[in-house]
Amino acid sequence: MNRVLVVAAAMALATATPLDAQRLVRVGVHSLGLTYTEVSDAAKSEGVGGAATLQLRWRRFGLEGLVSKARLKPVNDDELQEYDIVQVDVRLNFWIAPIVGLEIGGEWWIIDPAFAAQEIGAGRIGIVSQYPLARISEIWARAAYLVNPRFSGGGEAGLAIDLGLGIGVGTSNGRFRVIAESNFQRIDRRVNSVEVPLQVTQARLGVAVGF
Amino acid sequence: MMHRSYLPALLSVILASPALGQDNVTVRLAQQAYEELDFPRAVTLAQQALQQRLTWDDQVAMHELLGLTYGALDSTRQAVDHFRQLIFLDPDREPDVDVVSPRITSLYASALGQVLVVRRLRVDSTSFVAGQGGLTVQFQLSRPARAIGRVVGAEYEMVLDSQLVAGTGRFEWRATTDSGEPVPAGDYQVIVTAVEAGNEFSAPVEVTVSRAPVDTLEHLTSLPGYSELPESEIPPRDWKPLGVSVLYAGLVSGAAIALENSALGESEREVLGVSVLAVVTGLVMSIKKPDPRPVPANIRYNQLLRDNLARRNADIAQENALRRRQVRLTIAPAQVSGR
Repeated sequence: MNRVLVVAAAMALATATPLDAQRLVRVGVHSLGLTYTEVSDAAKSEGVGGAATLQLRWRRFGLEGLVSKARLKPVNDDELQEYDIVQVDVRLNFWIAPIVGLEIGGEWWIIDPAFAAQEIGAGRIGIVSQYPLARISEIWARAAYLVNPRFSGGGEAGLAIDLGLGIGVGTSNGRFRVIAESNFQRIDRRVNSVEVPLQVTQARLGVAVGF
Repeated sequence: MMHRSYLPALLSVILASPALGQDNVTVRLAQQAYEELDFPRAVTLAQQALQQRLTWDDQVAMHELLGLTYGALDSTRQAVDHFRQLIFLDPDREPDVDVVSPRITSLYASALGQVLVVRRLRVDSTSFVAGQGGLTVQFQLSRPARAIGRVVGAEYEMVLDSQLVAGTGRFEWRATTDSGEPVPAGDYQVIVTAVEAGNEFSAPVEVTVSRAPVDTLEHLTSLPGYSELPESEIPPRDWKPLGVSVLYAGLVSGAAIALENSALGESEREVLGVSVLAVVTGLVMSIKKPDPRPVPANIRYNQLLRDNLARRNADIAQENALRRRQVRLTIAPAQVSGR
């Protein structure tokens, strides 16, 4: 936990150049690659899918939504069936400085068929930092603690963190952006004192249009 | 060549001898007699000439000749009498003090003191915007008297002023009608009348009035002496984008590596892939030509210039609107070919 805070503080104290004027609304579509690991390295699933994003920005407030769907295939066991994972992620930002914002929200995972993997619901509280590299590009990073995660298989989580990194390149007026973004989640799930950790990483590549 | 060498001499003879070229024989003979110092004959011939129908110039010449001749003959009363006639005919004509004797000058002054005339009536060419200037009329009275100035034209008559004048007087004609409108273009006569104890003398001067629109001012495209400054500048290349991207990517990927669950194996390749992309993007943003950045001081300066320019042009537009309603009057003395 302390390491997470150190990382977040380092990002927040990075340079303080103000953000360029941003679009009020931005929508995007992405392709994604996802790796889901549960319990051990042997239970790893990988797959690809698509995602849609919506960003709203008004003064110091921001609202981001993401809906993604990926079809995962267990890597080490061909007999296990493929399954779909739908992720809904909502974040509300409040920018306390031009490049630093606080973030709260929640995420839900829906698995089809049920119990092929863990369905998860969790709150989120964290920090986000976005920095303009140039008029046509910006980079952002986020770190969040997943609050009180719930699992379809029951249990509870000790450490549950989410790290993100994104880069956008586009036109100088901000209307178009090509975006690459990654997420890393670690959830130390425990069921009846038995460790059943989860780890999810995903990468998204897509385009977004601002209005 | 011969003609050219004789021409100046011939011209000087003509100018020095008014008798030459004189049409009236009696006048010419009288002038010849005066030049030959045959004063009795000059008097007789001059008086005979005055009995005839003479031009204005001949009348002036004969009265002047008689004044000078009687003065030379010590006939004071007759000399003064003819000088008075001369003054009535041509008030501005005076004996040349470098040529005539002081006695003649004295007799002329005596005659001048006995008559009431308007002398040296003069107007100078002028041009002004109607309502903002005027024509100055200058004159002298031979004796203190009331002077009345008038301007008369076709369907126009205006009394300028009435004032007691001793010596030099002055009127101003603003060239407007009773309603304040500028007078129409055309010829006008400025008349100064001197009145004193039943005596009255008027002297006119012709002037020509022409009208023209008032020149408008051109709008300004820039303020003289000031020019706009560039509102943006290309900053020097810096490596900050690369540094920031390395920092962000390093922190996130480092944290992901540090926080990954060893029991679940390595699964941070997505994070590392995007981190590499971020670092490459930062490198490209550092290498490429920097984006121009605004210069706030120059922007404020240019805005001030534009505000001032707009204000000046608004003033000019207002001034031009006024000028389009105005008329420029040019008044000049008319060319007088003769009396």
